Amino acid sequence: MVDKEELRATIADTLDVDAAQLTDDAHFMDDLGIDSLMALEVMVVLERQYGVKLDESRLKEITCLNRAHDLLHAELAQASS
Amino acid sequence: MTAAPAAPAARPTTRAPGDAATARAVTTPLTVHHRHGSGGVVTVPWDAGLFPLRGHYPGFPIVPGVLLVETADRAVREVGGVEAAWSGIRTTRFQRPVYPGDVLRAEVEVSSGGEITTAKVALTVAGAAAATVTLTYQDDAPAPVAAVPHARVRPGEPDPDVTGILPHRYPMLLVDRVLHLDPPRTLLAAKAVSAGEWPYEHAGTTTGYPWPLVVESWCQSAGVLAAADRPNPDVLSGQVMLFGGISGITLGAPVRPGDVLVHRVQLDRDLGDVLMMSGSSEVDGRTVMSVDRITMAMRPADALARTSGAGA
Repeated sequence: MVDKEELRATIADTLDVDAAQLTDDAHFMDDLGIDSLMALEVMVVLERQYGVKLDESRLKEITCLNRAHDLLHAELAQASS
Repeated sequence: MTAAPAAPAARPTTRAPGDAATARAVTTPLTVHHRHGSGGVVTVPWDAGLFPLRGHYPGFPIVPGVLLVETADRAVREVGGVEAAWSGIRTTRFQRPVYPGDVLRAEVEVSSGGEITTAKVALTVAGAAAATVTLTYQDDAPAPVAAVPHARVRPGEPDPDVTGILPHRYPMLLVDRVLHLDPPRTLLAAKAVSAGEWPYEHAGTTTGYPWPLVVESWCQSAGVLAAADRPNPDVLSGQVMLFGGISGITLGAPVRPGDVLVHRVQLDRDLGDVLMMSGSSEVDGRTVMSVDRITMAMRPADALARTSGAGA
């Protein structure tokens, strides 16, 4: 439902990093030097692109590509059920 | 870079000061330290007497972030060999304030992909990251698309004094009038562009208004919306606004003296101390700039206090 490569491209574009750098498990803050403002930006971009509403409390869950993918997948599954 | 192949209606390839396609807010000469095939390194000092710093802010001068963006563009022109029109700001991250007395170093890396040229610029002061800026260049770029639906201006709107809300002052107060204010979600504000402004001291009236000042004007309008219910015209106390990032800006036809910019701002997210906004700017109903997102942080004024003596 959520294409991981498309998600990788979206997040890499938002963070202005190379898609190759954004591996599945690269930690946004520890490995890529992303601060909390940029993490918030990612959340807002994902909301817009995937048409979901993410609560701010979910922000700390978006720590790497895999986690973001899981979160979106769960949100979209819930929205369509 | 090699010269671009001849194209119809080519833009001028050499731009003398005062004859640029767009005027500059700052014309302090750049010092070139290094050039390579796709970029190089320049430095520029920020003199405490620099005119726009008078109003940004009175009693507490900080180099406006948009002037860092302008420096990035100047550096790209100087060592990146880019001559195409400035078409957008892909991302900007402000990491540390730059103060009068600082010397800014800009490292430029240009890459071309088809019609769009991309330039990444790392800005540092004394080895510390000040900002990273990614700019795009493209001749005959498609016009920007308005990012927010048109708001309706209703008669009898509140007419707040902008100087009662923002700390910016002449010559850096770039919002003239609030046209429509529907806090916390939307705002329309106007700014009349004049050849009497300082960028035109050495530029003709058909020269474009500096894009970084269009961005600043939009951001100040966003500041009015953010601060409408918590005005703080005093930058030395309380909560002050800092821009964390500006992303996805598309630039269109040049803005000229005589134009009235109408900025549309929409609040997308409010986390109390962090706000995200988007919008666009128009002249006579034609979109000249769209803004995908900006991040604004409200921080205690003492967070702005200089933490290192570098360059003091």
